[in-house]
Formats: sequence, C-alpha cells, structure tokens
Amino acid sequence: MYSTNGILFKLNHIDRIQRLRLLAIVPVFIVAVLNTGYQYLVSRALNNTTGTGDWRSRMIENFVGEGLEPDIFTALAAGLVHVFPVLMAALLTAGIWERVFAAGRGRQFDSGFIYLAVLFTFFMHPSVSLFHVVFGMSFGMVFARGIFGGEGRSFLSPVLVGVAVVQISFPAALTDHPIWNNIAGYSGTTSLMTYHQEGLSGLTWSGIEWWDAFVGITPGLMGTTSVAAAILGGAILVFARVASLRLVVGHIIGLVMASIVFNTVTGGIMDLPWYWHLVLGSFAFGVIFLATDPSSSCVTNSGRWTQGIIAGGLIVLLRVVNPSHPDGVIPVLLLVSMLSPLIDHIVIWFNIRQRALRHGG
Amino acid sequence: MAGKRWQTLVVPLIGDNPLTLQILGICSALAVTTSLDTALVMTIAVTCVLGMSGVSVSLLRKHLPRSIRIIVQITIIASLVIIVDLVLKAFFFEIGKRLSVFVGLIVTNCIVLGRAEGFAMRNGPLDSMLDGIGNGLGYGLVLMVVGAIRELLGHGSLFGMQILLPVSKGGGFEPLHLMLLPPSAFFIIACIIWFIRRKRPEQIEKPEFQVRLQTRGEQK
Repeated sequence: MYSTNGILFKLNHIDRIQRLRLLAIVPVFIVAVLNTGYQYLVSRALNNTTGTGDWRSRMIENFVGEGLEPDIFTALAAGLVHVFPVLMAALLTAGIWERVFAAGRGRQFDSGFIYLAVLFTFFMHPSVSLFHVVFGMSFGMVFARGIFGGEGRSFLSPVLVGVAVVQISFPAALTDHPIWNNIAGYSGTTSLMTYHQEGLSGLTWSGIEWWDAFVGITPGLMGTTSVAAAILGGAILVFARVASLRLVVGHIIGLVMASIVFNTVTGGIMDLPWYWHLVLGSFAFGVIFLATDPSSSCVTNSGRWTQGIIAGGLIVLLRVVNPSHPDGVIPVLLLVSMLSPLIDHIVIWFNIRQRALRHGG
Repeated sequence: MAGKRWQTLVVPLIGDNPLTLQILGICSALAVTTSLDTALVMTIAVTCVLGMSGVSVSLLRKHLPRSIRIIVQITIIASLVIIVDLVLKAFFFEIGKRLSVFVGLIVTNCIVLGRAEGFAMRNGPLDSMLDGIGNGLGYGLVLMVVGAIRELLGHGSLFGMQILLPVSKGGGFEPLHLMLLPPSAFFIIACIIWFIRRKRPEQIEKPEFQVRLQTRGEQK
C-alpha cells in the first residue's frame, strides 16, 4: 500500500498521518457549518428574537440583512459566523501553546495542533463563549500534550481533556441563552436531552427522524451530529490504516450489546433501541476521530477489541443511568484511554503465558 | 549551632517541602483547600501537632524498644490530635465543623509519622520541635497557596471577602466550578511542583526509564 505514488500514501510518517486526518475532517466540517447555520435559523424563527444583543446574531444581520431567508446561502453565512470565531480562538490558543512548548523545551514546532483545534471546535455548542474555548483548549494543550512531550506522547487525547474540563467547569453556562433555548449545555447533545425528557415521541414531535440524525440535521454540538460525515471521514482513516477498524467495530459491538441488554428492562430511557443509540449524540464522531487516536488507545489487536467493547457498553450505561450526562461519550473515552495500557499489559501477559504453556517453558 | 537550627526550621519550607518534594499528605491538601480559612486552620493544627509530637517522641527515643516504636509514636500523635480537635471544638466551633473529619485524620497524615520516625527518633527535643514546626509551615505554605487560588477562582473571594464579582451578581467574573472539586488541587499542586523544580533543578529526580530520542529528521 505504501508503494503507491501520491501525496497520501508516499509519506510513511507523521506528516502523512496529519494530512490524512485533516482530509478526513473535511466532510464533517462542511456538515458542521451548514447544520449549525440551519439550526440557528430554525431556533431564531421559532423564538422570534430579533436584536437580542447576541454578537453572533448582529454579525449575521450585518452580512445578510435583517430578513434572514432560510436558504442555503444564509445557512452557510450563519454557520460560518458560528464556527469560524470558535475555530480561530481554538487554533490561536493551541498554536500559541505549541509554540511556547516548542521554544521552551527545544522541540520542533509540530502542526498536529491544527487537527486538535478543529476537533475541539466541533465539540463546542454554537453559543459557546470564546473564553470557554480558550480556557478548555489551553488546559488540554498544556496538561494533556505539552508536558508529556507533544504529538504522540500523551496518554490522553488533548481534545477530550479540554472538552471535559469545559464541561466540568461551566456546568450551567448555556442553559438560558436567548436563541438556543432548552439546550443541554456542554455535557450533552440536545437531541439526547429531548429523548431523556420526552422519550421517542418527543424526538418525533421535534421532527427528528432516524435519517435526520444519521445525516446530521439535528440540534446539538457543532460538528458531532452527523454520522454520515463521520463515516465518510472514518472510511478514509481506516482505509489508510491511520485508524484501527477493530476499535471502531468493537465500539459498535459494545454499544449494540449493551443497549439490547438494557432494552430487556422496560422503562424510560432504557427503551431506546440500538440503532438510535448509534446515531444520537457524539458517539460516531467521538469513536471515529478520538477513540482511534493511536497514542491513547490499545496497540494489541485483542486489546483493541476489548477496549472497544468496554467503551461501547459504558457509553450506553452512562447514557441510560446518568441523567446529568445525557451523552456520556467524553467521560467514557477518557476512562478507557486511561485503561488502555492496562488492557495491553493483560493481553501481552496472557499471550506470554499461552506460549509458555504450549512450548512447555 | 544556631545556624544549623535555623536551617532545620527553614529548609522544609521550599528546599525539602513535605508536599512538593516528598509528596506526602496530599489527601488532606485536596480536602481542606476549597477556601483559605480552612487551609489556615489546618496549617495551624498540623504545625502544632508536628511540633509537639517532635518533642515528645524525641524525649522518649532512648527508652523506646524498636519493635513497638511505631505504636508508641502513633499513640502520642493521636493524643495530640485529640487535644487539637477538642480545642477547635471549644473555641472555633464553626470552622472545626467545616474541617469535619480532616482534623481527626491528621493522625494518618504521612508527614507527622514521617517526621517522628525519620527525624525525632535520631535528634534532640529542640531540633525535633523546630523540624516539626518547619515541616508544618512548609505544608501550610503550599496549602495556603492552593487555597488562595481555589477560593479566588472558584468563588471570587479570599477569606470569605468578595474580591471578584461573579456574573450572577452583575460582575464580569465567571466562577470555575472545577476549582471547587478536589481534582483541581492536584493540578495546582502539580503546577507548584513544576514551578519550584524549574527554579531549583536539583530537585528533579532522575528518570527511571529513558525514552530513546528520535528526531523527525532521522525518520525521513
């Protein structure tokens, strides 16, 4: 595979991985911009809030005028106004910290921070305050990347750490926003929150069909709603052997098994069938782009299966039994990356024992 | 001789700090530093216990059979902790209630037993007392810094006085909920250790395992 000529397969080192990752994130980016703009227009029409003083609304009105026809160009403009400032803040923060650590520790300035900042942006809600973005990104870059030695040396994903810190630090930051009312804050996605409160009929009532959730036209965090775009990006990563297919499939198996087990218990949130669990929340996005990070996941094949199944099952468990964390993807992925060296250790120990028994050692 | 005693007192403040160099007593440092006043009271309590236990253990050191020395040390420390707890309950009831179980848990604080076993068993009463007070103050110094950061960023206040006005009361300061949770103390203590070791590189331990350095130039 590596002998194929071309920009993606010729360079068998960190530059190739970084280019592939940025390529894989492009479909998600497009859906993120369009869906964020569309959701903004929908919420704005529902709440009839013209001139609420929100700086993003004022920017949109400056671009396209007061009328705001719900066509694709208005959605694009509204989406860019929401995604772009957050992305710039995240990129600048991450770049500055990368620069500081590169200068302070005599290390090469590594461009991996671009991918991290893009992922971090997608985990933010459209109405996020820029201070929270700077805070979370700084925390992730310093404590999960810089002090461990930069790209490929951290045992937790800087994005996950940053998002988790924002979730923990500002638990009630977004609950009474003038336009995005009834949003789930940073700790969950809005469609899962709707399901938690009103069940499947609540989802149908807000006009969310399974295909909407699959394509990603649902309210929620900016970039994590679309399963289709995540699969497209994931296909690139898996085909190029950057992400491990075993990990992704392991997560899906764990999620399906756990939700079938919970479906046998009737009552409330436990009834959600597995095919809804797959498309709601940030499961697909988190699994494809964060759980498969080679530096914070298992390296043995059996370890990858184990890690995936544990994580998939835990995500359903957290979604079902913990109403304060409707999504549950971020804490579970953090926990499982912490466990991954232990899983590898057990797998290797088991293998050594098997071989010793087989050869009479 | 006076210079040496002065050294016994001041070296534990930064040079041989029990929290940042010996990494002892972390548990109570996470628990009592949500506000500055609890951190201050805890500092005073630990310093008193450390000083008095140093004197008592040092006085008894030549009469203690080796096999039961730890039991006797713990008995002495526990009696002192009970005295401190009773004093707090009698005169500072409110703050004692907020410190709750952590005053009683000074018994299990590794610093106290560590100084009794490591210093007081081998030195005279006066030296042991100075060493105990020095270690208590070193512990307290870190506690106060962590407590100040956590109270300022978590509540916007210091010693209960509002300094930064939070958004909910019309100010521009957004309280960090993270700072009110115990894990934040881990991060702050880690940053303090990072800062101290940057200023004093002699505190940096040798790595147990050296990763082979590979620059990106080699790979190409």
